[in-house]
Amino acid sequence: MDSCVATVPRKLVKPVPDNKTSLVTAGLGAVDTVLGSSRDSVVRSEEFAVAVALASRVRTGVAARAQHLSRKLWHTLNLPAATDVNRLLTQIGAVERQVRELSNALSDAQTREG
Amino acid sequence: MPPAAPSEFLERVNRELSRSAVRAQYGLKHLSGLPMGKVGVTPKTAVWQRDRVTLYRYADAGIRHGTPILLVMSLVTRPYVFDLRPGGSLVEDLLARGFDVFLLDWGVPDVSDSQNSLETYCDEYIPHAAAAVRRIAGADQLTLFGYCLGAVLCLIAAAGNPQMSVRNLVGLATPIDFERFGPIANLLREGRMDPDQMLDETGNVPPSVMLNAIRMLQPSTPIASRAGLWRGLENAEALSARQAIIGWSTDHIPLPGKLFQQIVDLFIRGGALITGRVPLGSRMVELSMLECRVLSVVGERDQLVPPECTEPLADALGSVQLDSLSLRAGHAGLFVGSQARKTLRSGHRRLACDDFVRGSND
Repeated sequence: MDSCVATVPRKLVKPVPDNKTSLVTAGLGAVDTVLGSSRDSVVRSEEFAVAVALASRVRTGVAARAQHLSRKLWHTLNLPAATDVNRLLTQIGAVERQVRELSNALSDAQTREG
Repeated sequence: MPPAAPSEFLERVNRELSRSAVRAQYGLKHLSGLPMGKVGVTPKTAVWQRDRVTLYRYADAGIRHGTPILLVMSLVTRPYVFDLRPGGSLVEDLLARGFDVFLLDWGVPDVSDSQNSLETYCDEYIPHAAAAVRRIAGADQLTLFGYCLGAVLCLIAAAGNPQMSVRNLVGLATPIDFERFGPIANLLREGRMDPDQMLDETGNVPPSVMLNAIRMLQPSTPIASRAGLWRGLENAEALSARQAIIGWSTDHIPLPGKLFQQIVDLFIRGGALITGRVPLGSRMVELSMLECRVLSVVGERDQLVPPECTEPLADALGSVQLDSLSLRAGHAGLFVGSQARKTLRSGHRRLACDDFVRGSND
């Protein structure tokens, strides 16, 4: 923050005095007032919920299908696919977690004894 | 309002144009990488660590109150918001009032944290961190200060672990009724959306999903942010402050997948927090068993966790002493920014100085 002030020429730091609401602020406020209630009702409507759920399912389905196809392709070429890497990542994570838990258990036991 | 005279209107347009010129100059500097200042600058020392979780203690000069405060962040955002900027920092305020302040930083979860559960946080991390705080500060008791989901974790941890010796518990924007959490929560509750659909390859809920869910609750936020940026461009200080808070509000971290599934099952579908009975491990934790006083702070303008979302806390706590404070602020505005500071002065005084968070040996 301080460095920000220091790098800016003094003439830029000085704001133009104005006691009234800016036109942009007033305009945005008016638009927000008009659109606010309808925006909220759209977001909370049944139709919106259906659309979001549908979009989520379609996205998941398309991603699963694409993964399946690309996996087949890479495996045909005897190469690992992203899903194989992810599976390895999960396994490494599980091992890391087990090591961590053992380490914590040891540390807790030492704390209790000490 | 009577229509403005043409001369007055022209003067206003002229004034707006001259301000726009200043904004444009700052805007160019902003686009070219104007440094926005650092966040979380109050000196602190790491005093305890477990897995990815780190406990920090802020500079301890001038401690006047005996009961240390442990700040517990939500699990989806970063904790530097507690110490956002010099002059706009909750940590700074608390230190100035003589408190011994600790911060629990969850770190950034990865694949090895995806199996972190409610039990990991409420029976392991928070109780161990609380013990470390008491030991390091040389205190018998401590104050838990939780924000958003962090406040929920504090409630459950303190209720389920009386040995934590919590004297006071402050919950900022504590979500209790998850039914009011917007469209995504509704979809999850009704079973139209499966929690698994929201996890990525690491088994965690990625930050982008959290951000999109929040944007559904506040669809006009990006426009308002840009408008705010335009307004703030005429002043370096305001620009820096705005950039800091906007940067934080979009700087999410992954939420562990197992915990997310528990949140959906227990809180969204099961309403466990509303009933005040939360299954934790092999036991049932009753929030009404809390042995400390609770202060709940809500923001009247909070769109993420509106006051109605926190309302059932009183019933859930039963006979536990509960103080409530309602502030004219939004979610982050509960403790961030100069405007929030002015608005919250009475709240902060009540939180930090007058009677609530003081220790027994003051």
